[in-house]
Amino acid sequence: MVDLKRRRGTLIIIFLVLFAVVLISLQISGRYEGDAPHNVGLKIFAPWQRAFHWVVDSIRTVFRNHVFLVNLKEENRQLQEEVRRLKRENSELKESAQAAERLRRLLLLKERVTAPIISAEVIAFSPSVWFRTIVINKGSRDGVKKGMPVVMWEGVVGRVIRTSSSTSIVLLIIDRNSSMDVLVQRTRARGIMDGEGGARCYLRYAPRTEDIQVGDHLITSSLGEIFPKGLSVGEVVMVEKKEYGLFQTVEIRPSVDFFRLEEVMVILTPARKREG
Amino acid sequence: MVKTLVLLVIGILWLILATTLMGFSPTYLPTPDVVLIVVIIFSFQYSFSLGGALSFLLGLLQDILSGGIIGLNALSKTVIFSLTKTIARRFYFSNVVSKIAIVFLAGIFDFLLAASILFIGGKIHSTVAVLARQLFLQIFFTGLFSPLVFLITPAISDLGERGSEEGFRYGHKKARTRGI
Repeated sequence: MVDLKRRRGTLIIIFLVLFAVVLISLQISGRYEGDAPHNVGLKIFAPWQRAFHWVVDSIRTVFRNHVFLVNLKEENRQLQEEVRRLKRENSELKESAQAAERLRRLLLLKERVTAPIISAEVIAFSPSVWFRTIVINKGSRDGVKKGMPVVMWEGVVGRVIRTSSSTSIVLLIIDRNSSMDVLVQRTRARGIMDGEGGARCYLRYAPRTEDIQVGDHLITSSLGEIFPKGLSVGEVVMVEKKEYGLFQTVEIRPSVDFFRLEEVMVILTPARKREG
Repeated sequence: MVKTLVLLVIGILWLILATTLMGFSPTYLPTPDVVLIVVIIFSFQYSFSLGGALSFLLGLLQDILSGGIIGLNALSKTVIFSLTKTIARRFYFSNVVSKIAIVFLAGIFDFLLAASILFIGGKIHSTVAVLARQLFLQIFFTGLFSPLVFLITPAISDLGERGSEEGFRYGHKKARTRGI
């Protein structure tokens, strides 16, 4: 009894480690999806993420609108004040123009994709290096469901993997767990594009005999029945063909700049139903 | 008790801050693993049972907020806590360089442990070169960020109860001036 008390800390650590190993094993084997903890966690922490996002965004806006203020001198006080006012106005107008341009492009995408689309704001990014995900401010009560594609006017972003009532987690196409069927727009060569967890993706199972060149544009094929066909995915930046082997290695730069995500669009009807 | 709660809340706030700040960085930088740094602070302050449970909890929150496999970071952070606690019993970390060094070492171990689990589970297809680059970037930026977390976290947590559970000395200015 005394021994157990003294070793209580060690026993607790061992129990926690075993518990984590069981959890991981169940998820990797597919027997447990882990939706419930994610839903509860999102419900609890998403409001805090929204609040932090608002604070950080406000600070950034203040810096953008005021950091370029010139130093005031007494003899030029009025002129300096006028310059400051105009710069602030100019900065706000630039922000509005950029927002308008983003919305214009979003509308263009809406014309290309006939399914219902909702816009969503990115409020948080993954805190883990192993999963490239984002949290958006739309959830099940907005009609978002697991598996729905997420895009921007530039191209494909990812797909929804978890939802709560007001937020959702999106798996980006650059994530290691992401795979999608794509076509080379020029030659119609097909392959599976995998994420690597970094800024690039790689095309797997592209036969060596296929003509793929640097600069080729990749689009979705809709074979995976998740993404609508014809959406921009990325551009080929490297092709490696070895002397042996069935396939060539192709490195892809995604069309979307994943480190500047602010707004995305969720397509509410999966491609399967639309092309049914 | 108050200090424990304050430190846990601080750890959660750091985690949420990390998820929201990354989108506003001027260039692409890996998100520093703030949970790793907070877990190392736990190893200096708490017993195996309490610190282990808190580390597990923070790792679990990290998994939940990332949308990935639940338990991955919970496991690695609990193991990191145990190892750091065991090592810290034998050494006295009194300067910033030592703390950053342990963050680097813990970061390498954390990365390798998670990579092994994902590799065994068939969830990794990256080459060694890609993984090595990601490892370097991650631990580099976590190490750079760690002095800030080391500075702020104990200072705020000292607003609660004072003194550690096992009397292990944390390299804090106040501890030194008290002549402990």
